[in-house]
Amino acid sequence: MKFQVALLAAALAPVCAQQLPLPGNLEALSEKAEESVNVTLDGAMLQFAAKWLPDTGEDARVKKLIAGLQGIYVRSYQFAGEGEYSKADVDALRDQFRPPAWSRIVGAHSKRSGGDADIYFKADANGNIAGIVIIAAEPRELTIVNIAGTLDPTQITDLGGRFHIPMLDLTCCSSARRESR
Amino acid sequence: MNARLLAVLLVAAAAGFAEDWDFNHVVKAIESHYGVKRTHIPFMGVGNFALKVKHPAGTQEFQLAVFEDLDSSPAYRDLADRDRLMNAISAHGLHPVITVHSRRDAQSTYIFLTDSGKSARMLIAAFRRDGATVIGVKTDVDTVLKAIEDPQGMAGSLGADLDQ
Repeated sequence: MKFQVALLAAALAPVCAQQLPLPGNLEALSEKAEESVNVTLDGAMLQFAAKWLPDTGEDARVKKLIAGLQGIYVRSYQFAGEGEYSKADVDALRDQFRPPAWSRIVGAHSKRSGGDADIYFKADANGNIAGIVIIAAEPRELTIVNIAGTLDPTQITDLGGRFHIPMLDLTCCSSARRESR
Repeated sequence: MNARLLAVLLVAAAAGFAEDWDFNHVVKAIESHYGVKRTHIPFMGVGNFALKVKHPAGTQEFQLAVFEDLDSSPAYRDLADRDRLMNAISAHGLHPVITVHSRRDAQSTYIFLTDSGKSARMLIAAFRRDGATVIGVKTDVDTVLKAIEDPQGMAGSLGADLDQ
């Protein structure tokens, strides 16, 4: 019986940790974008990387971090000009992350660049972080990050700048939110 | 003893077969889809030797296929069609890790991985304006991480001529 349960869990795990379903218009953005990047690191690939990363230095922190993850999925688009994607499409994406399943912990708007950054957390039954979604929308750039698995929120910054995840300065975002919203 | 030796040989042969299968599968899919044949590269048989001397990015067991005049196929300019082709390849056991499209430079780079025990098997399909290069290498995790950070740079360092 335990074997069947384990088999079922293994079969369901990839389903639970897949790419975010994007609204149709966003799915087609790679057709419009000057540059697009699509990163798909599923659990198997992350475990492989964790197995071989060194136990010392900066890599050790990343190793510990990714060992608990089921997947990192990134989609990033850069456009030649502004207005290539609609705010309504991004709002439709944001609508997928509503309470009680999701909590938005950061919502920042930069008046200077006209960009928005939102970070959403999903908690499991024990109150642990079970997933993070980052949506960074600049006038000429859109990045969507989905990190599935258990992690400490303070570890997010360690992933910034890796795997095409934007560098995250949460202190900066918090102050931007206070100033701009 | 003989049975154990046979088992070891069979496992080694199966692993080698799987690696060749992955590479050949990608190459044949491109040939079939665009109606072209890979370009013959003289002295390719010494590729592994040359690679050991050059040591680009900690790689071993190098395989290379070059395609020219892919733009003679009308489907070649269709990025969505190319994505579908590459997604179909990934359905056969290869993990697609990163895809980069640069419309400005008319380039696409796809990187696939398989975990082959103590190392990774990495397949790179790099498409440029009129042709493509498929590279298969056995490599370490550092190189894999570098490839994820800079797929086009890695493709270039392994011999994919993206500037043509």
